[in-house]
Amino acid sequence: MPKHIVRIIILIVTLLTVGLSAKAYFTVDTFYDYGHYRGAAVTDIATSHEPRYRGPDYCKMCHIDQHAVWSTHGHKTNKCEACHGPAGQHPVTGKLPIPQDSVKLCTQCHQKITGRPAKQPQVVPAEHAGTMACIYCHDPHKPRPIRIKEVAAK
Amino acid sequence: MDIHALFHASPFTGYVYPNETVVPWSILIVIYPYMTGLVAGAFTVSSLYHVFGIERFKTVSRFALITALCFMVFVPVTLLSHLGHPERAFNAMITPHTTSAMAVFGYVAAFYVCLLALEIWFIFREDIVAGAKAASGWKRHIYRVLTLGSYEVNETTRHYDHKWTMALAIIGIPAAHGLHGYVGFLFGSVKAREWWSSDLMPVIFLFSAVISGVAVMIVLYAIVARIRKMKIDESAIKGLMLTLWAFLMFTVLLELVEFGAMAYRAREGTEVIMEYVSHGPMFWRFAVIQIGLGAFVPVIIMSLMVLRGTSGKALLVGTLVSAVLVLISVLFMRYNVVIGGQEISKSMKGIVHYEPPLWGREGLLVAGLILMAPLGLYYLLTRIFDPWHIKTHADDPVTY
Amino acid sequence: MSEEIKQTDQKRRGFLGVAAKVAACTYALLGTGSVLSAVAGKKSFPTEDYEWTEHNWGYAIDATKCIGCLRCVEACKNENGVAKNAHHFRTWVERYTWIEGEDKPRVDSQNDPGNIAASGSEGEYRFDDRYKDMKVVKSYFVPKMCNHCKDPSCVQVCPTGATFKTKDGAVLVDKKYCIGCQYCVQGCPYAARYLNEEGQHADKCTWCYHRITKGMNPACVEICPTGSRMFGDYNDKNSVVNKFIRENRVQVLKPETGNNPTTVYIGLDKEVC
Repeated sequence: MPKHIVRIIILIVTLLTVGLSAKAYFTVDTFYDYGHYRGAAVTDIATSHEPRYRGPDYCKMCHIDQHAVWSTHGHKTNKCEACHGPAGQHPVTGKLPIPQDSVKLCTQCHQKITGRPAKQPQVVPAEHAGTMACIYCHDPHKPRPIRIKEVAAK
Repeated sequence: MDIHALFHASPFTGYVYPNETVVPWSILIVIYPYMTGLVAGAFTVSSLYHVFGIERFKTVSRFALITALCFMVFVPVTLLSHLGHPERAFNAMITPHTTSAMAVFGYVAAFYVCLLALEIWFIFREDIVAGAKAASGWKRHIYRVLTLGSYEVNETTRHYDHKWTMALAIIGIPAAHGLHGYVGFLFGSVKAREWWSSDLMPVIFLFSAVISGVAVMIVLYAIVARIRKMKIDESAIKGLMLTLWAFLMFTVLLELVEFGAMAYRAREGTEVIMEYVSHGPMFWRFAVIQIGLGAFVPVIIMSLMVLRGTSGKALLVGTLVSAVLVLISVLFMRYNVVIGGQEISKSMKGIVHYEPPLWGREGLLVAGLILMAPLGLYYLLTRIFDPWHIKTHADDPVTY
Repeated sequence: MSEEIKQTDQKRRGFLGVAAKVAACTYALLGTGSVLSAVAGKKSFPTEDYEWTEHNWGYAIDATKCIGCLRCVEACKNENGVAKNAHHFRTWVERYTWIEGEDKPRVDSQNDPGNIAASGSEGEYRFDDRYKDMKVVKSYFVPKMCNHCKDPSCVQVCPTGATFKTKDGAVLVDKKYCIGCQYCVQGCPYAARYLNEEGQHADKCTWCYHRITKGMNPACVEICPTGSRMFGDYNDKNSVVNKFIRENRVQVLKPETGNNPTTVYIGLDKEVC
């Protein structure tokens, strides 16, 4: 067999060996451990960050009074963080803002729009209360009964 | 950081899923199957001589091989420039996921590049040896490396080179066409997209690849002949024209059959596609340019030439015009498949209106540059491998 | 579909029954369970106090309860740091509205220009009342998200293994391994995936994997005020998803794709895509 044929075959075999070795060498740790993926990735994702929404029980640890009112009234299925935002590390990192614009907040669920199921209490804000803010009559933690006395005073 | 600066969002009509407003595969992925197609087509031309022994392609057979290699080298560039993490691209080869068309494509493409390089090496081996002995300066060094230290040229080496060239050319046919049929499969296997998900997709890609490759050979041959002041081999041009003519008729037919079948099946949501195809930019891109101007017009021109037995200058001009139209048609076909498929929402209730940006990584400018880059490489490669200098017999066809 | 899930469930239970007996005998032989695990020397995976083989999570959506408040979308974006714009969502809500005289529903989602105008910015989410002057035959909301399919086409097409199905049922993306080719974005029939523009990798709903492995619910389920969204363990006979499937005639989205979603719905018309 001519010299160049032998050499090209040697070259091909060398390249193949280098390629296969590189493939083995560069395969990252924990790949194939559980399937065709990096096993460590599952742990990475499971521990990627602390949950930011902590749930009512977390809030209850400090805000016992508000929790007691909220959990016994009509809004009990609407969790604290739906209106107040994610608790995150707020005892350490600072106060959570208290929502100011109650009309904007409440109408997210209670504005009358097409598509909302009839069971959901909903109003046309302008007809229902004019320019009055929702919290004049409704305590967000205890939407019913309305604050008749306070309203009358105003 | 302004997140909006990072992506190119498109407007939409009807209802499209929220995540669909950023088109994932853009103009670079249009260029990718286009270039792969040119490779497969150019390789076909060289095989017509090397394997099937059609003498009239002898002049352009080496030229076709070099052209194929030039385009093939830049195919991965389109993909790499599109990736979010090009530096991780080898993950697809280090841990190839065998159920993924894309992972296997990496291996198929790598195999084909090696095969092409090997075939060129065998065909040009005698020229390389001659160069290593005669050339001077930087060329000499390159030739000397390429000889692999063996200057041996005699009847035995010729016999071996010929056998190897033949074997590589024969493996090359399924490899080149498999490569491109595979690109079609890459799209055709995506069941989430109605416009792509078709069994005919690989076949259509393959045939359009052949016509675009033959067309690019015609255009480049005419340009190179002009620059080098070579006499154009009319027999080769006629052969290329006949190949283009035959494959083009078949391609158009396939495209129409596919579209017709989809329209006739009229599954849920097809009315959105029909609306999309019959109005607005898609009507121009698909019906007018891809099918009308780019396919019917050249079929008519070439049929007339064949009927009248046109020859000489008129044959060259007619073939050239047809080839340019076909190149445009196939480019639009790639655009209409890749972008069109993503413009039709998976909800089948709306259309995204994508307009390729001019600037940026995924812009028209970058795509144009990548598409032109093989010509630069061709200039460099032909300094070393002269495709017009056919004296040796390493690439003589098989005698049956 | 529900039938299929039930059947596999029954098979699983049948198998579990046998397995439980075998396990009981082994326990009896070895004394206590702790001895068994000590002998095996097995650590739990993926975290110290969570073993994924013990779970098989599932998601259920009762579209009839959804009020379209979009707190889930907001919670998802906050919890997972999803870009706050109108083009990247791990979960979204669609509204289907049939207008009198029209044979097809009109559909809009929170990314619709009208709804962005109603909310005031792309970072806030609210449905407008665009149909108020029309004769509406019926209209309802449909929450959407990754269906965490049993045979996910996104995993099938991923060239590297950067996306995968975990043993507890979630479909996840390894952002350190993903090359950003976006083939999975193309492959998902539900358009639940997108390119994370800052990280340049594919991204999607994880069922809040960092929460569920700590025994919490995904953020969208946690925040949903009406219980429209439910999350539970198919391995647990009394879980909310198993109960939901037992008590309702459920369906999945796009069953024709063969993806076998694990997310089940009630309250949809066939027009829901």
